[in-house]
Amino acid sequence: MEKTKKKSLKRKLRREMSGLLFAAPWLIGFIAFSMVPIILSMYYSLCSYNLFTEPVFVGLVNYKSLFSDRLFWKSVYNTLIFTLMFVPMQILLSICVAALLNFNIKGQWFFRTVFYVPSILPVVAATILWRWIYNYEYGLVNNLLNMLHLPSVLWMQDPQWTKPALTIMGLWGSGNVFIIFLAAMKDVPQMYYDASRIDGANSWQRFKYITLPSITNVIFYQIVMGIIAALQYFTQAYILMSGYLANTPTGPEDSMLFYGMQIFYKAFYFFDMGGASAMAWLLFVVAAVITSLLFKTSAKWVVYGGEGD
Amino acid sequence: MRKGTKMIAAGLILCMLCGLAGCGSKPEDKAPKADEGSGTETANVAEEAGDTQAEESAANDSGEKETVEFWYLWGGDEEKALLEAIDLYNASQDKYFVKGTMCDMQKQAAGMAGSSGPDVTDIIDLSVSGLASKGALEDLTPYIERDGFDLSAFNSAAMRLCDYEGSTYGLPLNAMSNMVYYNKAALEEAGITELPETMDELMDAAIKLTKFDAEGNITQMGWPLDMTSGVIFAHMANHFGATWVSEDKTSATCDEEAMIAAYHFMLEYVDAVGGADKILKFSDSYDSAKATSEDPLFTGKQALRMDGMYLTNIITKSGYSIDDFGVFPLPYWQENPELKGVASITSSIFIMPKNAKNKEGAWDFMKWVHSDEGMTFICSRFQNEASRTTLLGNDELKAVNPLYEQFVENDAKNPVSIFPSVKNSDMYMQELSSVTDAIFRGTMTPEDGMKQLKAKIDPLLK
Repeated sequence: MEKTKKKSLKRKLRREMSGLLFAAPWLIGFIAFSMVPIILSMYYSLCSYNLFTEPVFVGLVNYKSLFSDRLFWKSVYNTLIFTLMFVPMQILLSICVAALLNFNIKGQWFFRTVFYVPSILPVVAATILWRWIYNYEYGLVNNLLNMLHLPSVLWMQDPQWTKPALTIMGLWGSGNVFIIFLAAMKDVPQMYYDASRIDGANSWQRFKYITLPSITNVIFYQIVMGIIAALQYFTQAYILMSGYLANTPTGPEDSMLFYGMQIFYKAFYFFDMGGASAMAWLLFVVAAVITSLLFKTSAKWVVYGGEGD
Repeated sequence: MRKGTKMIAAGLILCMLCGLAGCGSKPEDKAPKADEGSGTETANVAEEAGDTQAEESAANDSGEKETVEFWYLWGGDEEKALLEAIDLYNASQDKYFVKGTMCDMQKQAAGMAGSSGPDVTDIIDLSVSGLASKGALEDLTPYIERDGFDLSAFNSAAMRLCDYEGSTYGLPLNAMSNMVYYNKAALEEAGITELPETMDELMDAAIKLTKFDAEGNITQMGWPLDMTSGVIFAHMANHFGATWVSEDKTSATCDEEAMIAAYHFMLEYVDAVGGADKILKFSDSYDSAKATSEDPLFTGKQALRMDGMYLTNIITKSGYSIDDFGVFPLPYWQENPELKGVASITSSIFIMPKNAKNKEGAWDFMKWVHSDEGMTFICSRFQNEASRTTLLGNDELKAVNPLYEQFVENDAKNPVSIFPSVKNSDMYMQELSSVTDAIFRGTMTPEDGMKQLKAKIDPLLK
């Protein structure tokens, strides 16, 4: 009996080792290039470290100094406002566009392509293009507004309009989200629609009572991913505010100083690696808290199910 | 577990480890590449000028010359000029072989912090004090004293940008000032016959030169400076006599009379044209076209503009005649006549990182670059004003730009550094930009703005 037990244990161990060995290449890479830097950044967040000299442990000084930093709070404010503006609009627009793209009409492939292509354009080129689209005098957006007898807007120079400008830019490039919702809608069992037609439901009722509940899991996923991405917003704002495109690196009245940008400036302009690491860890905690709150609320409104459920 | 499975797993791990080891490479293994570090398209440039370097690299491998790694931020025509200068230096002596590599600021910082970075590199003037205060730069004072390198031969304001707490951490390649370009036809049309010498005269001219359409929007800008940029404002503030920091450099003096006066002067123009919105509408429409063939100065949309000597190049390359434009020195604040002839100086600075492997080689190369020969070669091709005062009358440099003599004369009269070389000067500049923007938009008065700025900067200077 004992011999059999020992044999089966050995066999189990051999299987485990086999799995570990095959996973080892990825594990080694993950530890070397992800885990170690993560642990080091936690340590640096507790140090005074400027890259050129050895880090000196200072405890929570970096965290404390953030709370009295005007630019830290400005970046938090800008990021939160942008997140609250962009994420709901992206979800709403994506659902609407996906619903439209779901119609079986002639040229469906053309419309799907047109909506998807912006998301695969290089970010830098697209951002520089948008800077010209937002030009006060010659930009397409203001020309369109003028055609509708609306006044031109200082998209990149008015602090009230910089975040809406970035939101519009972001929505234009949300093709990948449209496709995800389209795929989710395609996955809704046809029998539900057939049954509802028999019961006399119109298209709005079918959309409201069948389509939307069926894709709540994807909506939830996009909310979580959208919030995480918005909290880390960086590339477009940085490109717009760097070099010849702008005079102030943080935008008019610092309205384009996002949290990710402030981390970048702290780390690579001012070489305050300790402060930048502290900001990064704070962001992680906030994102984790928001995500776990979302997961807690998801039980009330997210439906998970497939065919026959 | 079967033997075959174990072998496959072990083989995978070995491949991965080899891949990890192969990811890193020694700097001396790499020949200078056009797109290394920044991805800018300079393939042809490096190919032409770097062929000599590739040949000499082969000689270097035999151990005849010590390698000096030189990383630079310049690209395009300037990179080509640098590579030619490097060839010249390499041919002039037998001890060192300089290898040039283009990089961006992030790679430069990572290199200076890590174990395989440059022996010598260039940085912008405002970075010297920040890097020196963090222990990133080699103190050049011992090298200077040992070799009797004459620092008095350089523009004094440019030299001050290289100093930090009594030591010299860099050498200035150039000493560049900005002058006010003017459109001759616009001045003639406005009836301005005398070029402004004082700030009051500049204000009168700026207002006369500003034109509006029926809706009150600016169609021709008369003001020569960007109003939201801290760096541009610093130039103007210097012409008001701003001191920026106290004598002992432990407190900010941004709340001094000169600074407040400079801001009120700027706001006087803002009021005269109908508010900040008018100026913002103009700058949003035309700022992106600056230094291109559609530059508002060239197309008649801007009558006055403060800018550097490089703009003359763009004027001629864009098909315009330099005779249609002129330059005059940025005026001084008439309340302080001592400021007459003042020129706010910026510079590109060569530094030696603390972790440089070949410090003697780096120093030797720096000395050559900053000699009459090296500086003439580079600055003539860069079309920059050389920082060596010994080159003031140099014919080769005068020939590169029709306005060279005027700019150099402007640089030499009464030069002041654009900004003091103090601890956290980069943060001072960033806060200055934010406050300048707020004051310009009217969300803050100059007095409150300077109070806020001083409160933020004072602790950072101690």
